[in-house]
Amino acid sequence: MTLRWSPRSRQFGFLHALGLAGLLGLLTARFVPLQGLPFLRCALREHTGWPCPGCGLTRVAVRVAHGDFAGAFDVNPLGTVAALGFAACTLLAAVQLLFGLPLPLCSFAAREARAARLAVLSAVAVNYAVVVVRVRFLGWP
Amino acid sequence: MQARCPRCASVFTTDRSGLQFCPNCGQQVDVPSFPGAPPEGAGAGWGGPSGPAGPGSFGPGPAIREDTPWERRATVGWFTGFFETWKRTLFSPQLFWASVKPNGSWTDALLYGWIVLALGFLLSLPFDALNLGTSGVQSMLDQMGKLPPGTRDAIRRYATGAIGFRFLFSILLYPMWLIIGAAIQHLFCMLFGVAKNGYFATLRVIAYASATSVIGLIPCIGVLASLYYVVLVILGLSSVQESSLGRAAAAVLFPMVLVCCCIGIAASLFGAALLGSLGSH
Repeated sequence: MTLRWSPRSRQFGFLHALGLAGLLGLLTARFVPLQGLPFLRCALREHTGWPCPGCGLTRVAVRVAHGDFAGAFDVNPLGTVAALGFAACTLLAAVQLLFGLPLPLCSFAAREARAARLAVLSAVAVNYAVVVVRVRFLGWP
Repeated sequence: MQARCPRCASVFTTDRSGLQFCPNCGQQVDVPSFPGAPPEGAGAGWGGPSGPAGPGSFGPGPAIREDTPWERRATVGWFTGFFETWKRTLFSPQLFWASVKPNGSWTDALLYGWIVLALGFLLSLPFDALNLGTSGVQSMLDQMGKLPPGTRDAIRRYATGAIGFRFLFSILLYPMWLIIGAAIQHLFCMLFGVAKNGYFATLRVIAYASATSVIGLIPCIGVLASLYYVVLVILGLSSVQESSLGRAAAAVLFPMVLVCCCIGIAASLFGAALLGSLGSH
């Protein structure tokens, strides 16, 4: 992996777009009663009893936005990591825009990129397995 | 050799000199002769870079990356630029994406997507006024016996009185949705190695692929337009991010499977109900 730094600038980029997504998502989860909305239910779970890989993401967003990280982790561990990642992007993007700081730019060799890809996909699969076990076999909500 | 059309400014490849027609706008162009060139009317071409495939060719070759007609609107005119871009995106997507510059202006692409969406919204208004969409939705709801009551009400409310809601959340906030949607899509592009040319290349693909919005809001056709939008994004990402079709498809479809399979199931139920309602009439 090689790491280099971008020049100091306040140009809008990928980090800021992710930060915007995080800010909007967390503000919505904080102030809009998402869990009361009827159309945000999982149709797969309602019809088959099996959760989908994204089951619990709304609850994760709501709990993270209210500071209940442990509760969020109980619902969907990887979703919690993703929500915290988005929140971190929001903070970083704000600080970067404020001070025009340089950003780290990582580039991976082909082998490293393949390993990272495999790790993320494995994490998704393991996370789904955890959600299925909790919902189907342990009776968690 | 390459020639530039004086009317639409598009660059095209030709293997002969003399009078010929611009493949883009049909303008007659007099291509000056060059050493070693076959004389005028020398026969079918080989379908070289960005040119049409001639006999014995393997389809269009790698195209020259250039500004889209929309990005050249200052020279070709707003309407021509817009219409040519829209037409090429929908009807010759492979050639179009092969010519899109990954590092072109993202604000131009955003403006194009915004106009296309607004146009689609305007085109859908007569259908809303005639209540065409509403009757279809009611028919579908009748078929969906197991739908939770809250969901049923939400769908009915959206279908019957959502013009203001749609205008506010879809049209006015489009730039924000595009930026956020492209960022999330780009995360998956990074995961599948379809991010060679960066975030703004992904954003440009998504903005130009929204050409389907013009027909997307029309009842019944909208579903097909949505599917075609997915196809356009896959083709666009594979070409503009210089990756394989398989990786691009994985990057586009994986988030749908991961997060939206609920929506997929709901869409399947909708489709089944729609077919049922069509069959009952």
